[in-house]
Amino acid sequence: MKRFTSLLFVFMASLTLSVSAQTSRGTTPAPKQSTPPPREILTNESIINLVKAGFKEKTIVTLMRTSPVNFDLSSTKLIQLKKNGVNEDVIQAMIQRQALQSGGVDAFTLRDDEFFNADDEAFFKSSPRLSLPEMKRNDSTGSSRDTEIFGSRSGGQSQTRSRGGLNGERSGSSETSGSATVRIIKPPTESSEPKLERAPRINNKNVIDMVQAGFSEGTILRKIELEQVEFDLSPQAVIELRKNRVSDKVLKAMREAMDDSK
Amino acid sequence: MKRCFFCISLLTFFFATVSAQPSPSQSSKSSETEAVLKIDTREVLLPVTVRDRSGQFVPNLKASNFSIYEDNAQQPITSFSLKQLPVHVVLLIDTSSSVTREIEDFKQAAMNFAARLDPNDQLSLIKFDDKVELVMDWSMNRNALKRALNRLTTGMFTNFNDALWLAARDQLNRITGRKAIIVLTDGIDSGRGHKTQAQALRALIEAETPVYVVSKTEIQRSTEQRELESYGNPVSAPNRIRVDGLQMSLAALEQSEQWLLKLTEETGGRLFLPKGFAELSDVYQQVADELRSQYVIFYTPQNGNRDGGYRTVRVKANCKDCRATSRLGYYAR
Repeated sequence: MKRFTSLLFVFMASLTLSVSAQTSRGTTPAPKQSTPPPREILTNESIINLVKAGFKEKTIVTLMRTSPVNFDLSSTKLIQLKKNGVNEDVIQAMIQRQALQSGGVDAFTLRDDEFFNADDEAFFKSSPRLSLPEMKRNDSTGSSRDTEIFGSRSGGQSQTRSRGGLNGERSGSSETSGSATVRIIKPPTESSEPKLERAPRINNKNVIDMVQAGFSEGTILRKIELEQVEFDLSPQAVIELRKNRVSDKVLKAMREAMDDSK
Repeated sequence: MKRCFFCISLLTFFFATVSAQPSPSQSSKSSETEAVLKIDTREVLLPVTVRDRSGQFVPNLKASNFSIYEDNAQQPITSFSLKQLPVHVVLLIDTSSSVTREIEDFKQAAMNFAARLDPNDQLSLIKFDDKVELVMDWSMNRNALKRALNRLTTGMFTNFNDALWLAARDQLNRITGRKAIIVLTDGIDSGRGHKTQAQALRALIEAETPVYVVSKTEIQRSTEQRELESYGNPVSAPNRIRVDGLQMSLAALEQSEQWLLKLTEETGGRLFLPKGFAELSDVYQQVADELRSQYVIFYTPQNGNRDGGYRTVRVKANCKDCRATSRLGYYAR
């Protein structure tokens, strides 16, 4: 016991010395360099700082495109980015940039990531560049039960599994492997055609619906004034509109709007 | 009863078939119309602008004052006129977050532009940000344009290449005759769209559409340059990130201008770099004046191969101290 105590003392003493030596090295002023400092490597923290400094998304993305980067893109870090006000578009640009730096890719997906999958469905729907991947599922037995986790291509991700013992008790051991992959999906050419959207138009039915829903005349007039219109103002249609309590004032606005649209 | 129903059905079918057949008079009428509308698709239309040294348009030139060269071989002119064909103009507006403040200036400029055009000229309005949207289809009605301008809303990103490509393919490809695109933008695509600059340019050349760009790069540059100078030299550590950002942005503006210049030159349009938004109306009026002062030259290429290859075109105006500009080529399809 005595021997153990003395060993522990020696270990603690050497540890303290080592730490103090490190600290003193750190506080020593660095010699002045005559060469300009190397270009900053952008990290998660840099992006958070840029966002907090109020830079426009466009500027951040431009900066990212032309600077070396070293992002940590594990799910936890992505959540941290989001919590710090970095929106999904910037995060997406970070992922693309990181992937490009590590080998050159066209596009990839975040859809299988739980974080993104949970509440950002609309975001992905609006991004035609992203497509649903056919993820390969691997496990030790070769079946497809284990999920690939979201991570960077450089293999900096870890995977943690709990294992049950022979009698079903949890052994508590964790396994870290470097097999995390990002599936790179190149969107098919056919689906990569842009589409010319057409501004929505309001028609007779929309006007009737608004009247029946109890909208004020002023609101309906404003709507007619601002929207693209496609009214049927044939005598029969006008009778139908009147039957549905569409006022003369609204009918007049509908006629004027149609004259403008011709 | 069953037999009676069958007879009625047969008669109904017979009458329906007969009434669906075009009458001989109708048929000949439609073929006459087709004959009238038939145009020689081999003809190439060149809108040509001629200016003197002071930048003024040169009027009253004749066909004999022009020489057309295709792949360096002179071509005979088949038809010539001074702005007799109406023009179809797409007003393209960048409604991304970077131009939100200028929307009102743009509305005013667009209305002044429309008022300066010929009443027979047609306009359509396309806005682009996260998506590309046709806000108004072809119309000669200037009130409809006013209504459409009031519907403009802004988005976040700039799908500039997609917008050019869609304007060329969806809106202008089916139009024969004179056409043009006028776009207000900083030209920096967010890289979130589908089309590249090269694809957009090709679509525009195929649609034979000159692009007039009103670029806000110069305005943005002077603002950013002033801010950059305010940080002094050497830059303090807390300002380093901002300064880096500004330098990147200035480089992006420079790059964008080069692309916009190429775009306008190759399509036969023109690049405008106003120094302030107060100049916007004036610039749009200059474009309207140019469209009104263009010569329209048709020629039938001596090389009749429709192999899809690119043919270079050069227009020379034989007049003193003047210069003709037109598109630099076309795809023989």
